[in-house]
Amino acid sequence: MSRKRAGLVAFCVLLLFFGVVGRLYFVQVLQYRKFTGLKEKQYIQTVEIKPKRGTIFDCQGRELALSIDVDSVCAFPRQIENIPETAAKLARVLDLDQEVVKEKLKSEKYFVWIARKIETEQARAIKSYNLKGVDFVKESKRCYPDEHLANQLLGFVGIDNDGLTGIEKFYDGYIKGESSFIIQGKDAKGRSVLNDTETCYTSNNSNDLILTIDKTIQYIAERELDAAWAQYSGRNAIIIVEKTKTGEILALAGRPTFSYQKVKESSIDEMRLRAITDFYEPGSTFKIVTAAAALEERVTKPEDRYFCENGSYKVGPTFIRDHEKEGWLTFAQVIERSSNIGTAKVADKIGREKLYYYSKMFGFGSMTGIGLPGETQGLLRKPKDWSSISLGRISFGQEIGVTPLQILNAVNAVANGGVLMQPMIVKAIRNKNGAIIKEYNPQIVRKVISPETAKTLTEILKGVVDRGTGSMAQVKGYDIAGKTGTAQKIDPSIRKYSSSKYVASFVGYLPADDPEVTILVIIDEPKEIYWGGSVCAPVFANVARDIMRYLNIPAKAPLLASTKKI
Amino acid sequence: MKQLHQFHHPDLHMFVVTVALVILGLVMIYSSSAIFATQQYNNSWYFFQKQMLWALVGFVVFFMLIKTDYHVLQRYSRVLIITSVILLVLVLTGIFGREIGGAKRWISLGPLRFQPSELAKISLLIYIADYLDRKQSKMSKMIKGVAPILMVIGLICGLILIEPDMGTSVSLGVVCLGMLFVGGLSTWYLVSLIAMVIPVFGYLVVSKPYRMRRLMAFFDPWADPQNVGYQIIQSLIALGSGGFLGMGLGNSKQKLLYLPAAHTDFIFPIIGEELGFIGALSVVVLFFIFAWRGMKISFHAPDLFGSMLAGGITLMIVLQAIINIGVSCALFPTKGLPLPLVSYGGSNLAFTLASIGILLNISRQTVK
Repeated sequence: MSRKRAGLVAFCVLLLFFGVVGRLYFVQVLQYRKFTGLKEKQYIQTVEIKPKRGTIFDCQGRELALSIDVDSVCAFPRQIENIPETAAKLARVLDLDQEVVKEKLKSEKYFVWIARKIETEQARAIKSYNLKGVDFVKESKRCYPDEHLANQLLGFVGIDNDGLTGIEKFYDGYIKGESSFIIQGKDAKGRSVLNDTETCYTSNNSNDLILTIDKTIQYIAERELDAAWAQYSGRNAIIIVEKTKTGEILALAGRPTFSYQKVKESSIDEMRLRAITDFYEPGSTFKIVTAAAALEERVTKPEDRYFCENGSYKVGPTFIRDHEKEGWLTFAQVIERSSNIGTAKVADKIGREKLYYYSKMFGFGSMTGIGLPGETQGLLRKPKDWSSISLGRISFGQEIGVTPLQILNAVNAVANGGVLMQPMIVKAIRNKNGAIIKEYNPQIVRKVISPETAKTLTEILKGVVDRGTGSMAQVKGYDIAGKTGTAQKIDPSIRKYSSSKYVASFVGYLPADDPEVTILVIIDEPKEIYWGGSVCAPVFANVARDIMRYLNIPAKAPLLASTKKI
Repeated sequence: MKQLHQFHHPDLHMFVVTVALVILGLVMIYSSSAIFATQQYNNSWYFFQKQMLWALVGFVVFFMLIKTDYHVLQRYSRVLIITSVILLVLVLTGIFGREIGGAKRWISLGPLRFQPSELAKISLLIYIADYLDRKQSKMSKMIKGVAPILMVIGLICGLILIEPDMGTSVSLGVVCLGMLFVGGLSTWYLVSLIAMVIPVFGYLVVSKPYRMRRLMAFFDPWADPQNVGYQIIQSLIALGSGGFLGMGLGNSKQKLLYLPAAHTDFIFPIIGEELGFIGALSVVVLFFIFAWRGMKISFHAPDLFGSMLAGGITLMIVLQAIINIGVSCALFPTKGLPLPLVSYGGSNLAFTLASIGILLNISRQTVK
């Protein structure tokens, strides 16, 4: 044996030892952070537990929107034994494409969704197969118990329960709540390691919303709107009901609307809350503002007489026309019969600055701040931008853009003795323990006209319904103050007012002397008839009648006497 | 020629190191396999119990061989080598063989399974030592000296290679060459032999796609982290995340099925993960002491047979340990080699203990 050679072999072995130790030091000590990071990446999994969305109640505590727990099917592809069979069974029960399911099950991923928020019977069927690697996750699904009630107002949520439109969107921060997270270790097959679990709960932090909406009144409004829509169709239609003395919105409905069953197929047009997102030229309903300004500024009295030029009146280069040829009329009659010429003559006495000032005071040209997504401020130009004919035109509701809510709220101020209220849709926000965390109280925006002016104007507006253009709005037993509107629409092709396209509207309040509700009905481009007094006033009457009955508002004494006789 | 020596105490260092490694192995086998065993056999002690049984068998043989004069083995060297060849051929025919993962490495005798290559390894070492002892003067001659022993080595290594078990075959081949080198094989022969063998192995690597993939994965495990590179990456993650002090005994995450073969060929990374650099270094140091004592026994053996046998056994065990550890920290390409005395694997443990028993008997007869 050669000792030299043995020594050489021993030396080689010694080198190998040094190599191994050096390498271990490098991997274990110097690269410690790198490999720890890699380990955590594959070992730690975070499971998000979505919060349960808060409930939306009406003003009487009835549910308008709520969340329920439903099953979602998921799969752990690595644990599945027979992919074709599993895919076939899942596809059959869930009515899915078998190939699509198969692709999902073949995925390299640890977790895949098969179908979210499925029906109870489907879940039961899948559970009965006892498929390996297929599991269920409880998810909360948004439900709207009355499927066709206040859809646009409530809005809807996406698959991950984010509010996408309407109240669901605007108050998402309150009602959505925060996710909880489970941070846990998992083995290489994705099974969680139970003794290595940490849960970060953010419990019970979704809130309930209590709206000012009254489900019954909303139902009345929707029913009448549907009837009118069926009769007149048109481009769109709106009904808003406001509680006169508080500014609370009791009902808000629009057509066309979407169905919760077919949200995906609905157009943006069907989702928009036109009552606040769109503005239009109001036409004659705006004469209430002009009249309020004239009376408050004492430029006219109801009995002052104006010559209405037999229906055609040249102002500057253009003519103002009335729908009926009128001669001499009192101011009250001008409003009752809705004479544009008479109104324009009164406006001349008010002057630009004052008319602008009152428009502004009544809330035009600024957002109401009701608290709904997408509100617009409308269009109210400053007097210096007005042309020579603007004053007259604005006085009867042209050359000005208002939202339906703005006009309703302005009229509501007249109904409320001259006090403009803050329109509101949410009464309170309540946490899961039932404690009110935010309360909205009725808020006065400003006093616009004196109570006396308001009373005088109300008398005039009663005349509109008693013997003027709004006579179809009458409800037996109740005095109603209101105003019709039949606004010509600008035809974009000729850049002039169209002679065939109108926005018909009626706004009014009752009982006139101590109003409970102010109601606005708008039908945009009704078919065949277009007069606000013919189209919208009857709808108003139907809504008003049922609301009075529902709210138990006593009818006038004479009628009571007559019924007692029977 | 042979003369009886005064028997004295066996080498205590080596004895302690051996026992320490076996105990560490048992502990780590339980730690790394408990979860897997629970899932597979519903008994977390499954692998521990089997290894324990083999350890007991192994220690009986171990103590018997410490008592048995190693010169007896010289007399049976031919019998042993012939038996080995027969068993290796038998295992290939598949009559008694058990095929696991495409490899025919095991022979089943009732409930027990053992690898004939284990017997072949020690038999070949004994045979070479005996051969060198007998033909000491003829080692510079081709036909009468070198050629016959090379043919025997080639036969044994070839049979193991076609099982296939390239790791064992190559490491055994290297040890044999080392013994021949120390035993007086001329440098010329050695160099030309290596020059002949390298292309053969080059071909063998290229011929089997899985070997090629393993080799490529060695150069860049991150190129395909899901498949071939997976084991290397998981092994590195285990070692690397252990840091200096480790995560503590039993706290490995990688044994949660991330690291395949965590209780067999890849037990060392789990040691590194749970016991840190300190623990891993301790294992290396134990093998270093083993190498040092083995070398010492070899140098002081009473005769050439003892000296060559002691050197061969020591080199065999130490080389396997270094390769195993080197593979786990990506220093070498993946080889299916267990960590001697520590990895789960009954027949390997028993034969390793038997080999060390022989080594310790030689240590009882050292002269100086």
